[in-house]
Amino acid sequence: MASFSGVRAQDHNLREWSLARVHLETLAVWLVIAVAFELVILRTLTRVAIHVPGLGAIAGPYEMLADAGRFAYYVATVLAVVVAAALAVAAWQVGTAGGRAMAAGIASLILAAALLRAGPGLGEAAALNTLLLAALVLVGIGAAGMVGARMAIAVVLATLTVALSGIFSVGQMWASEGTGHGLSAGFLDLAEWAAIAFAVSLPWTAGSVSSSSRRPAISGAVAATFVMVVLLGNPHTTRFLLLWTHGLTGSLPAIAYAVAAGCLVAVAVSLHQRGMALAACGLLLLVGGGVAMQNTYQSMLIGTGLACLALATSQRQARTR
Amino acid sequence: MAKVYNWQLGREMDYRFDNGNAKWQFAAVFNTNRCIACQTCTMACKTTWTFSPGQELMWWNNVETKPYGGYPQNWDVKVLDLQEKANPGGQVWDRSVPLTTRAPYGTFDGKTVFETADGLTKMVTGYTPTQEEWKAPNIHEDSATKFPKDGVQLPVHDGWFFYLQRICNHCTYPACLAACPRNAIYKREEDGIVLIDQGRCRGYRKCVDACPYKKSMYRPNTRTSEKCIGCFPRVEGSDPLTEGLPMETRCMTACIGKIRLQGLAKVDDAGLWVEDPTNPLYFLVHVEKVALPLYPQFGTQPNVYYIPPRWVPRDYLKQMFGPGVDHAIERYSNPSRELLAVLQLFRASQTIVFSFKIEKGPKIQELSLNGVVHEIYDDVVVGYDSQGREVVRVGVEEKVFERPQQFTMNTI
Amino acid sequence: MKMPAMVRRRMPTLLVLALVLATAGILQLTNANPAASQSLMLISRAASSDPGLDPNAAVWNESASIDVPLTAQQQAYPIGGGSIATISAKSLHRDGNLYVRVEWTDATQDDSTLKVENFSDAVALEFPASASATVPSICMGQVGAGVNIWQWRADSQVGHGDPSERYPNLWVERYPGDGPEFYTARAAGNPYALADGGPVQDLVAASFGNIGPAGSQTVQGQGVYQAGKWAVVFARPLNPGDASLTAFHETGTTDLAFAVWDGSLSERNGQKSVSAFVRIHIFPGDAGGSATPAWLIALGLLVGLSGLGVGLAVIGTRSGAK
Repeated sequence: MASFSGVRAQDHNLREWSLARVHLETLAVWLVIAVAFELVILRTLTRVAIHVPGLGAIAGPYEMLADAGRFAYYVATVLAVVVAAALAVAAWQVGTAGGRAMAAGIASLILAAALLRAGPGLGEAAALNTLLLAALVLVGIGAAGMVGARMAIAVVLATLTVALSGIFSVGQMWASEGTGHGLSAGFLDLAEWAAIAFAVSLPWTAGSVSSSSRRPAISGAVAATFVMVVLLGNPHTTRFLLLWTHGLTGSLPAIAYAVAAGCLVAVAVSLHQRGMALAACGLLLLVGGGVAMQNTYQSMLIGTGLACLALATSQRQARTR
Repeated sequence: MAKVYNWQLGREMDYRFDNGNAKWQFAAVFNTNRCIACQTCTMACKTTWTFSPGQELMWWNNVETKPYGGYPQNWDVKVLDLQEKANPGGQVWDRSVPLTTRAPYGTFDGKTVFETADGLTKMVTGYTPTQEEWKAPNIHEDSATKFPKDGVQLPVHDGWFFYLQRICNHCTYPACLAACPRNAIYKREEDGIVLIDQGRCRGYRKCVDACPYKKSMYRPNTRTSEKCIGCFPRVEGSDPLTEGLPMETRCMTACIGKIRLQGLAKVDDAGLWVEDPTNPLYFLVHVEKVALPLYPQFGTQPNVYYIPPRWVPRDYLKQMFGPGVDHAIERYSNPSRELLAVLQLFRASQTIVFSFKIEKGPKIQELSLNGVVHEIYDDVVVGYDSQGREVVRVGVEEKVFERPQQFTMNTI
Repeated sequence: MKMPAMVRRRMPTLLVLALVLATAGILQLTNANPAASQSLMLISRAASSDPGLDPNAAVWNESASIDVPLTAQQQAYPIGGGSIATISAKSLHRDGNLYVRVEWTDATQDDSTLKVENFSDAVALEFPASASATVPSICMGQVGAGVNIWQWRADSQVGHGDPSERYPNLWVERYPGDGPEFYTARAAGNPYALADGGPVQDLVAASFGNIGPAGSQTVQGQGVYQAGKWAVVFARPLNPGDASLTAFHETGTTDLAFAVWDGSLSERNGQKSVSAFVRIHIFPGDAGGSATPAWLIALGLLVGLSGLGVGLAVIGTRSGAK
């Protein structure tokens, strides 16, 4: 292992961990694949496609693509719950305060999502959303407790992102139900800053990218260039997509998003190279979840992302004894 | 953004859409030297199309006194100013290139109204004139730059003004069409006339803002914009009066000064005029190059061509009609036999003349002007309609008729 | 016959994945979305009396408002807007009619478009035209999903724009023609140009630049400008009896987005302040309705469970530390 600092790579132990001998890492990788497919096809392509003139001529293939994207979405929603449950058990078995808090958080997250799906009546949507937010924050606090000091900074920044945008949404919901007042949209801007800070901190908090391989740096540079090109090339469509898929307003300079994307990709590749696929999955799931509180599926992705990241880089091994 | 070829600029330029599918292009030549600003054209248009409530300030045809007059006020210098600010010092022509039909005036190195716009807030650089600016259509009528005590003489007058006759230019690349977010404006395939679909327009006034010639006008009580329709029932020959033959517009046929000639030019897929030296418009614009587009640098490829006034300072004219001014005035001042004959077609017929032939006649005069010897021949120009039938026959020498005895009273 | 060790070891994982795929397939076939939207919700309760079209009707006090953030429209030419930060919305329903009241701050009352440089203040509500075409929450309604837009305009409420409305002393000797055929856009059937059209237009659209009038115009509306604010009420039958328009149900949730134009800034068309989709939830009960006790119990359970988890965590740590 090259000059990797900040995180001890103990996921080789976790790799062997199994819930009724179900391979957690394999499930997480499948979840990432499903999310990526859903993100690219459904959340991006089919939205951009409506701007393509002459769509009617390719309506058949287009609808097939949309159907495939929808299937990926269903796979991802179901798998996200399965992975979350498995992660909760694994976190519980770590045995530390952080692990148990995280497990409790994930359990609450699943419950809150289920209750929200069941269709809350008057006065309950805001309460349930508040609980879901609290559950996510609990997952984040637990995760921060499980990892080393540097990694904890990244986890705290990710949690802060969720908390800030969530507080805004929940505040609005309480106001709409007649209690409390709407909060300033400034929370959303702060959330955006926190999200960027999280991504940019990763090379330091999750381990140096300057390993013997150049692949992480090259991948990061490619990702950063890609984001820069699409943001500058077609700023309005891209920012619109950013807002709808990730809840990012796109109000910061393009370079901020480019650097953030570069850091995220570089660190994810680096983690993968070091055999820490679960941690890489965690990062990608956070990307899939986005910033704003949009729906329980994306909230679940944020929860599983944080848990994957924490378990893969935790200070204590999961069930080694 | 698509790339289209603008022959008036001698280069490709950015436009929101690809070149349209117009097969024929509405075009006209206005001889500014002959206009007396009687406004008969203006009233012909007004009483035909814009006499209803809500159209009080609307003059699809207007004649304004340059340099001070303008409807709306200062429209042209305001657009020039916006363009200059967007591209300081860069709005220049390159005359060193070969002057061909694809680039008869050279190459414009500056930016068009499309190229200075960001494409997000605006498709076209422009401005919306206020109601005040539309209220005085003939402001500064007959105002000269000064009145020299010793009078004036050619080639350039010291104190000057001239009349500029304006209708919609039915541009090949209309700015109004590019600006409309509703796609409510279209250019007709059969004659290139640009129309606002009154059923689709929602009065956003993007066309009013965009048209550099300010020939899209807002009507408050239908909350839509309207514009010159090129008298399309006449041009297409569907007006009963036309008896099925393409006929010139109301403003053209009403011209008592015989300054106007309108017709249709055949265009190819790239928007270039198909070579046809027997078409009087092609002859005047491309063969003799005596008639020039109005503010070609705006980039819309306007289709009303002006024979520039001989007495006006050339810098002013070059800004208005492009760098072809010297050549055009030279051709007009010393016309060829053919040009002199074709100029007789102006207002000789209401039916659109699609082609002409010249039958040579005897020399009737020889005179010397500024050391140049002019030979005048009594050639006869014959005009043919869309079916190739003769519709008009005029000689260079104006015939003299004597009124019979019984009509000595001045009865008309 | 023994399975190879590797396959045997992976069997449980593969089984779980197979189960997930099967579940996903069933969900897709039944069009059941396992996720729930967490976006803002406007709750429409039953009104105790007819709200009518008056934005100042006392019955509006029965409804709580939501503040929806607006941003500049930056998606399609012409971009612009962003001058109005929030719009506040309320909703009620009564006797099969849905009422939506919106209010926003605007320093100028722009209700004339007589002059070419005048643009009107306006507000619009946007609903998915067909509820079933969209899976809520992540905007999956792109395949053939149009929208139904209700737009209220201040200038249309004041009049139809004849110069005599603003210039009472205007005198014209004679208009040669004054029949409807001389109002070209009206004669062309442009509903926007009608003299007797109300201040609200019911519109349908399926992409940029193709917005057009709905087949039937059943939306009513009225706006009032007071103390630097516009308040506008929209009213429409829950079921418009037109398949191309949004139908509401006595209980149900639909997406809703807002757009506001400030005429003094020459805002029109795409130059507008827009919101993201929020949800409007029509609830059969009136303002007295409240959460059912069963849900309170569920909430209590949840809080208890979380507390238990944290407690166990603390105990676990202490014992682990020893």
